[in-house]
Amino acid sequence: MSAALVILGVGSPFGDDRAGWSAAALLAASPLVANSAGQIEVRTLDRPGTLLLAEFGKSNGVMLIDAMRSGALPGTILRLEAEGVCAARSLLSSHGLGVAQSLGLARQLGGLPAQFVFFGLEVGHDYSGMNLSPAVSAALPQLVTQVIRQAMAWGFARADAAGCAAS
Amino acid sequence: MTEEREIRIEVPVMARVEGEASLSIRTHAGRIEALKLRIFEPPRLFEKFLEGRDWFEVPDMVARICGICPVAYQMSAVQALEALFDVDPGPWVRAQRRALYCGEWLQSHSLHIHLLAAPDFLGFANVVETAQQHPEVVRRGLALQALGNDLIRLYGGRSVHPVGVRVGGFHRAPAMAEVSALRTRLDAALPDVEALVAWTAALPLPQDEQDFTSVALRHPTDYPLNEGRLVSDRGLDIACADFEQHFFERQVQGSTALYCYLDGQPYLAGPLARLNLNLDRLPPAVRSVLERTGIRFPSRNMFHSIVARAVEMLLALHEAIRLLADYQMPTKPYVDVAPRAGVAFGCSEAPRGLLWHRYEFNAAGGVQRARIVPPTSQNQARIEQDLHQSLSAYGLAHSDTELKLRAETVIRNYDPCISCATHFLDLRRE
Repeated sequence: MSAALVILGVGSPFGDDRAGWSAAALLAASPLVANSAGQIEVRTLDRPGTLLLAEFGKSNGVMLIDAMRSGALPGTILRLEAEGVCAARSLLSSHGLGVAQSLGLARQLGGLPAQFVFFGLEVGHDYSGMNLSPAVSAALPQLVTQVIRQAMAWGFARADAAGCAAS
Repeated sequence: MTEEREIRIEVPVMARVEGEASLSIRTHAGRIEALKLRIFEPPRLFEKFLEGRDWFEVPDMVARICGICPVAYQMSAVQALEALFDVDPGPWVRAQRRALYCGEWLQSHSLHIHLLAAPDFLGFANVVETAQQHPEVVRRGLALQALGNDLIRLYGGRSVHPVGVRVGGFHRAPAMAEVSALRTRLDAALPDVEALVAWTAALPLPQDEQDFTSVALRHPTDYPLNEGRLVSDRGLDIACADFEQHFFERQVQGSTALYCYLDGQPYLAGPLARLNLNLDRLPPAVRSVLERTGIRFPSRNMFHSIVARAVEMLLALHEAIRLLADYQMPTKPYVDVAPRAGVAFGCSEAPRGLLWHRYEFNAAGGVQRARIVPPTSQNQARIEQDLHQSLSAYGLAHSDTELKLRAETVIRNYDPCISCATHFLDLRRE
């Protein structure tokens, strides 16, 4: 059965678009998940589109991590609640249409999870490497820490879980 | 009064999905002087990727060409390879492949009807606005899309780029309990899809009769998905292997996509063409629901495509229920295959139209050459022809905003592979 908190990393295998997957991999290997007794699940998705709606219905809390392009400095982390994602029309993650519209649709249909937060990680501008750019790679530990703190704030993790972010 | 203006409509596409398209229209003295639809799909490197690969790698590789219709690519490919290798996978495999394909039609058609096409006819900017006014319709559409995905997952392990298909059959046969559970859900969905057919027929669709050639597969007894001859309503009736004698792809200046023509003329592939040519292949239960709509088919109104899609969802649902009702566990879900040298042809009906494959193999079963003609390439010239006729019939005196919306509606009506981004259409007038 589904966990109470689901952390979704959205992305693809290439370049900075991996950001969501890389963050998910770090989180999956962290004590946050290991010590959660199955309460926290980390998953990766590849351009889910409307399939994202099905993910929302399975748990009370959802955190979604995706690469984004908002014009901020590469490596910038943006935290938005559901209202913010729906309102930020000009904010395009690399899967922007899917995430923003799916959230809007879920909200319209009453299918938003009780707790929802979006973490966007700004990709390198004009970066076209196969792996993560240095700026995005350097920002990952901080992103992981923020996700863990959010899980703690929602009551899903013990205080000592935050220390795992850098490991 | 002389009116001269240029309208440019850009259709950028979601990153990494299909590519992009733009539409240029130039009018003079109230007439369309030039109209060009350009589809900038990424180069179809898949055909080159396939060269040198082994025959058994083909189904999983071609599935990656499209995230919405991967099953279609797998079906055209295995059909081609099995024909060349002289393999008959038998009735169990044929039935399950048809059921799998029904899953793809269900999910793809539901996605298109609810998320892409319906907002145009209801005057909404997108599906979120549709959901505001018609939450029960959108909820029903998403549930039907999910049902189609689950049918794909039953055979393919996952709904996007499924991995269950192999040359000769399937890697794994679904368990009886899985099939039975899904059948219950398919049964329960019948009233929903019947209601959907009526709902699409009641939409305020524009009346725009046009002259076009419908092309689709035709099977001796069944509504076409996986098998049949290539036919048109202008007398074409050929085997898939003879495709190249009548259909020619042309490079058009300014576009990276190929245009495919039938004997030099544009033609229509897809749900409306299939329904126009295969009305008598609909099961009676589907036919009666269609007749109750009051819309007469064959239809020359391109905007009846959305009704044809809903009817095909009902057909797919009925077929899946029938095929799963007869389901039995096979001794082995595939037959053994030995490759041989030669040329292989395969053709099936992807949700948005004909999908034709041709492969050349060496004696060891290595791909020497591959050629894939997708539906969007086949419909591209017809879309241009339609835009020309539709916009003229609509009236060029309309505002840029109105013309842009009508042009978008016409393009989206074909469910082109670029359709996922057409909400971003951006009009610039110079």
